[in-house]
Amino acid sequence: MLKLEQISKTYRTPDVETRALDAVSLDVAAGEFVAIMGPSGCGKSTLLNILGLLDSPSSGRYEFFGEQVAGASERRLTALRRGAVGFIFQSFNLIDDLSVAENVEVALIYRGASSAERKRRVAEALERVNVAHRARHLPQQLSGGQQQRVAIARALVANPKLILADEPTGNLDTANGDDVMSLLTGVSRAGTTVIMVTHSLAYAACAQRTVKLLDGSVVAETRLAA
Amino acid sequence: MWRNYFMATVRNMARNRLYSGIGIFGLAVGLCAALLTGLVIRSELTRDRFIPGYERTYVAAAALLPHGHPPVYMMESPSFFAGLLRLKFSDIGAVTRIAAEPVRLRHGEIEAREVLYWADPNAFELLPLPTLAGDLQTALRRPDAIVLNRSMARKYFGRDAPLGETLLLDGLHPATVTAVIEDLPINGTQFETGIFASGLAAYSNLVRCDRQVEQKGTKKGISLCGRTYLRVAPHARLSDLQRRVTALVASVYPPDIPGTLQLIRLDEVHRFAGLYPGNQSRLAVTGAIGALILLAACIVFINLSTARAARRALEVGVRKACGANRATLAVQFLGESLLYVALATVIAVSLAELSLPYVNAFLNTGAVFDYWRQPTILLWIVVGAVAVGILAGAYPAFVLSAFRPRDVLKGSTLRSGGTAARSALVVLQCSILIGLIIAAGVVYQQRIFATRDALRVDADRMLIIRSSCDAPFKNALRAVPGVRGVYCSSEAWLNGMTFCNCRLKDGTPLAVDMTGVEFGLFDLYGIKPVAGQIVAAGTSGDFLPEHRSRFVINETAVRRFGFASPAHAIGQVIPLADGPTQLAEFSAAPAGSTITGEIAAVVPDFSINAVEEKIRPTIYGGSSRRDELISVKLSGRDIPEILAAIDRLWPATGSKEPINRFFLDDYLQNLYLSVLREAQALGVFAVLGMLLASLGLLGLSAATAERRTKEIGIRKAMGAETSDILRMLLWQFTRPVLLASLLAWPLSGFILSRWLNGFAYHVTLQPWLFLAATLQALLITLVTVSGHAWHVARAKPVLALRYE
Repeated sequence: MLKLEQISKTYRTPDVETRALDAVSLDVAAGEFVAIMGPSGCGKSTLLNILGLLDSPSSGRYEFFGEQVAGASERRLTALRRGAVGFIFQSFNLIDDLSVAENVEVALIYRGASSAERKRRVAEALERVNVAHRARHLPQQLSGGQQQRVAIARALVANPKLILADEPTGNLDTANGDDVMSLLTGVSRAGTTVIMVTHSLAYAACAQRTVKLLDGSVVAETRLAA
Repeated sequence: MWRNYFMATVRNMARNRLYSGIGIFGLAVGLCAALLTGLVIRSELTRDRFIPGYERTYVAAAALLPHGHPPVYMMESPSFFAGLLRLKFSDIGAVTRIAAEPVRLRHGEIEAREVLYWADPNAFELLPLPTLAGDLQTALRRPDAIVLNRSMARKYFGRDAPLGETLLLDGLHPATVTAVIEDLPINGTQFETGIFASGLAAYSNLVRCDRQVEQKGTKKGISLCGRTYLRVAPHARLSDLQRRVTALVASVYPPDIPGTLQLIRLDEVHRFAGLYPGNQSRLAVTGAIGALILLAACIVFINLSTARAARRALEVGVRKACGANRATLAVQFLGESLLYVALATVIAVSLAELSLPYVNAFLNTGAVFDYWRQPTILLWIVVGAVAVGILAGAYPAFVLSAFRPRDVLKGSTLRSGGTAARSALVVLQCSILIGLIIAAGVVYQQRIFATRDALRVDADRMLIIRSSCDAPFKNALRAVPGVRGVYCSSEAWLNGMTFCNCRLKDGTPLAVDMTGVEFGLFDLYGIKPVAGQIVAAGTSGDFLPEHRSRFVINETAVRRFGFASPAHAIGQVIPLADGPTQLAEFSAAPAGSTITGEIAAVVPDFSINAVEEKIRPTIYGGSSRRDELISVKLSGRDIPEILAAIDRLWPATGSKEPINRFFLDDYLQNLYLSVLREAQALGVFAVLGMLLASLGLLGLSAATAERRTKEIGIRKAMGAETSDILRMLLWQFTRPVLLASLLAWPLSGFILSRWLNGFAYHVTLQPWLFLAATLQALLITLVTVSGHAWHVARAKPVLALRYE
């Protein structure tokens, strides 16, 4: 369902040209749980941004659920993203001025859900990640683990087909990290495709496949037995 | 440490050129506005204060106190009071008289018409003006003496001290220059022209007045002639002196002329409401608006500083971690704002120096910015700048220094401080803007109303000639092609200054205007009677005893005379008891003359006078040779040719003066000059307010977009479209404008209705104007912020998220 062919991404400044991705090809099947690993600056986040349609490749082809999206308009990318992708970030990226429930609701607002439905689904999602009791709090009143669970609730609430997680456990202690991973594993088992960037070998082991990046290129792929 | 702070400040300024530029420029505009209004107010408050001893020098202005009518003040007073005052009161040290008169001066080839002040020989004892040459104390002792200022000396003689030289007055009387004074401040004194001549000259105005009093006495009315200046003794109690002067005046004036002499201190004349209505309140309004503009500028600065506080958070965290306490950091940031204000002050002072001549020309003021000569001004600027620096810097310093290093350094979510306070300030700024727009609109409406609608007469192409009403001249005028009609009236037709202290039959005192007109004048001005008939020719009566004649009255007179309706008044006798003495500018009128006329017609209320004054009951009566105005209605074409033809007729009247003619439209514009200026000044201030508001919003929208970059990224990652983000950002700035309206509407409504109440006839406050002001403020807001919002909303979300 996701098919990258010879994807490259180059950042240019007047002085320097940085090649973040170099001819990356990658297929991801529906319902698959993929971990992306590699040292800092190898292009993991760039790859994730391109997969999530937050960024466009400089060259190459990208087929997103059967649709060719390399070079598609920002408007089209937004529409596709809105229907299909949920994001989880390392730094949680919650909106400071909104409450926990309102933060989760943001993922539904732009998908045209009615107010009553939004309310119901937000409550369900918060219940699912076990922070329902904190619904009215502001993000900075929560611990890191709780904040990341809110971010996961936000990613899940719209039932996306694809969840992209950028080092979701990077800012968490082991206990909270384990919680987050069990949530993601559950999501994957329920049939949602999950692509996760991580530095942790242990968490990568939760995925069905591990892709290793180095200097913008895929250097190894490990498929774990189911 | 200070060097470190200074470097941080300068680099921060350099790194954020847009914000620093907006902050400094905004403060400069605000400070410049405050400085200019301050200088204008100072010049108005210090008029004539350059004259030593002004604190004890007073003008005795004539005041008339008619029944049921506000007091009428005039700078001039009866000439004989000077001697009387000096004689009767020991606490009056010296008294002198000064009477202005236009004369022709000539020396050799140079000839011009100048206003000259005839002055008693002791004038310069009271008014020791700065002397350039000669001895002022003795300068006016010889009857042919003349004192010039430097400009006049140069104009006629080409040098500064032409002592002993001769000027010819009105082509007849030689006058010898006995002293030269310095040029007096322009628009800063009541002795504007600076030309004084000895009042001892047989042909002087003062001698003529004295002769008139000797011949006529005071029984038949009071003549005003020149101003009376007096210097009171140091120990004198003014309230007591004023009471005794009033008693003296009452014993001298005829019993049916209630009046007094009002003592007004030399420097307060220009602010005396009876002589210059509205000047005082105009000063207050000017000051208030200057302060508002400065406040708006401070708000811009405060908002920019706090909105961008998050950017400085790391610096605060590191400094605190290294041992800085809150106080030292507050001092650092306060110092920063003082540096901003200092830069802004330099710009503001330059701007003020450049623009002051235009401001003076525009407002007709004589403000000077001579800080090199008056170091106190410099001191005030420094004090003011420091105050503004503290006012604008205190809050940002408070917010910035309050960041906790733990939060900042951990890099966790950081809420930039003072969001609520900043929103409140934005609301305040928007409400200042909306208030200024409403005020500018209402003042403009009132100006239009005053010069067009309130007039209720046809002033179009109406030429007025100041001339006695000669039949041959009138007929000659009628024969000029393009002249539609010619009729005469008294001066009161324009200024309404002729009224009687009358009594109704039941004894109620009532001030009634008496205006001499030829009845054809009503038709000429497009005034149709509401009852009765106006027969134009041959039926005009005169204000003479026993003369039974026909009169026209206005609707107010119908009500005040107690008639049920205009129709009921027709054919009735004017119900005034006993003989009124006409108080025509205090001029002698037939004493005991009685109006026994019959009412022929009733006309609607109208006034060509200023709308500040209520229309009084008015009797329009027969014209006479004493009439002073000829109204000439012109057809629309070939105006220059018609005027030339009229000018050619003038010499035949035998007058030695050149023709004095003007269009009624111009006269009215002049009459409403103060309202016009107020409207224009408010317009300028509204534009300044808009500029500041735009600057503030521009900076704030940039800062907000920056602050919300992460949020925008998240929302876009969640599927928000550009239009969603745009809408969100625009709404953020729409809300304060709407809130500001709630604040500005009632407040400006209250202030403006009070301003309007100063006019007897005024427009009503219209709701659409308030709505329009809000819409305009919204438009300014949206235009200002949409560019930035659009730019931010379109950005790729990945850029926004990477920013984190």
